[in-house]
Amino acid sequence: MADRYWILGTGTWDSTSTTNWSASSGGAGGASVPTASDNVYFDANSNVLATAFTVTMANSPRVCNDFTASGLDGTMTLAGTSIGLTVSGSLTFQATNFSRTYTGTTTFNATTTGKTVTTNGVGFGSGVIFNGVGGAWALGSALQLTGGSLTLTNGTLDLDGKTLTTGFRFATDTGTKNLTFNGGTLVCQLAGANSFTNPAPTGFTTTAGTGTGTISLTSGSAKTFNGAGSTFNCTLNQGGAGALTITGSNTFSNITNTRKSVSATSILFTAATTSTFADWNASGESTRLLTIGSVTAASHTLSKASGTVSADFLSISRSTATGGAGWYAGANSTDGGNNSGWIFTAPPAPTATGNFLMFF
Amino acid sequence: MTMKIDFSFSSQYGTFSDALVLEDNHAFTNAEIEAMKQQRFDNWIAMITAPSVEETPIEEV
Repeated sequence: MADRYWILGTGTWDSTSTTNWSASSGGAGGASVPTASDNVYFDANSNVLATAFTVTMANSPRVCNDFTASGLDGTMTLAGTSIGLTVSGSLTFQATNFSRTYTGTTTFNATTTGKTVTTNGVGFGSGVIFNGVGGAWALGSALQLTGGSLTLTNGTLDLDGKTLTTGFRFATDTGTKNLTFNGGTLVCQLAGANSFTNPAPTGFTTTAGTGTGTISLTSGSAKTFNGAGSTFNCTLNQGGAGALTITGSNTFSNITNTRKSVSATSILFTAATTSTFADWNASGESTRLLTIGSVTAASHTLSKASGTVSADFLSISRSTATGGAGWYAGANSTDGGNNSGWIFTAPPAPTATGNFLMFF
Repeated sequence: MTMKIDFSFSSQYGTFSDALVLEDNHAFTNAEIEAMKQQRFDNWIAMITAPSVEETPIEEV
């Protein structure tokens, strides 16, 4: 493993040119082009005086171990047309004086733990892939894909309390992969059939960690959460006006509807599926009902093992509520027909006996 | 060395949580740091409220 420092400002990062690479910050050029085991640095000595400069990647993919842009005193642009960047270690973009224009896939393929991805407000314009058997990455800042999908193939991606936003979809691929939340949020913006899609559920796990993790689908048009029967140790949130369709018999920690503060919306389940919840906190508000129904003219099942569901302002149809919990739709909810297990009243108030015992 | 400033904003789309990772010897004022936080949030709102379109595959060279 070696360190490689960019020098002399604007230049091309390709597979052969050594002009812009030095073994030390501001040192002489001619060092070898970084390999996948070398750390690359872009710093205050990467440019001439404090001028802006552009590093254009060529010969896809460009590879490195750690990628660090820090200490820049002139604006650096990382460019390249349809060019990929593969990072085998950690990645850090500087909060200021750094921009990215390259179009191509960014791949993280570490096979060891303890890596970080800190983009500092700089979005990726194309797809991002996490694919390292045994690898683990934690977000050091929010991560945004202004274009492209995020694919989790192998390794553990820890949101670490940050927000990960995909411009297109979140997808799994064949491999052993884990999504850890630690209070973080995955936002899927895409409308359509696969806003969140889990085509490779085998080997896919989720971990809540500390705090409450959330997957929020925010499109104003209809969108689909294709869970493929996995367990999601997080809250699933309806965060946009478009109907949210949930396919597969999945298990969730919780379900919410933050859209209720703005408009009515829908959460639809696939007929003949059973969705299991540890908690249910999806409600509407006055004049902004939340519709609970099936995609087709057949029933779905909602299951909660114990406790009480206390919802309100729902419009429910073709829904079987079961599992042992008391499913109270609320006094302001509407029975649209073909329901079972839902109780269209508010839950009973705690009994005096119960309060008495709790007092002691 | 760097320092990390965690921050979050609540919205109808959910919570936006981010961090400013700055060099220890940065010269930003508190007002500038607050402006950077707001800019990050504004950029996020602009992103998730923009019309989403299907992804176009990029054939890499």
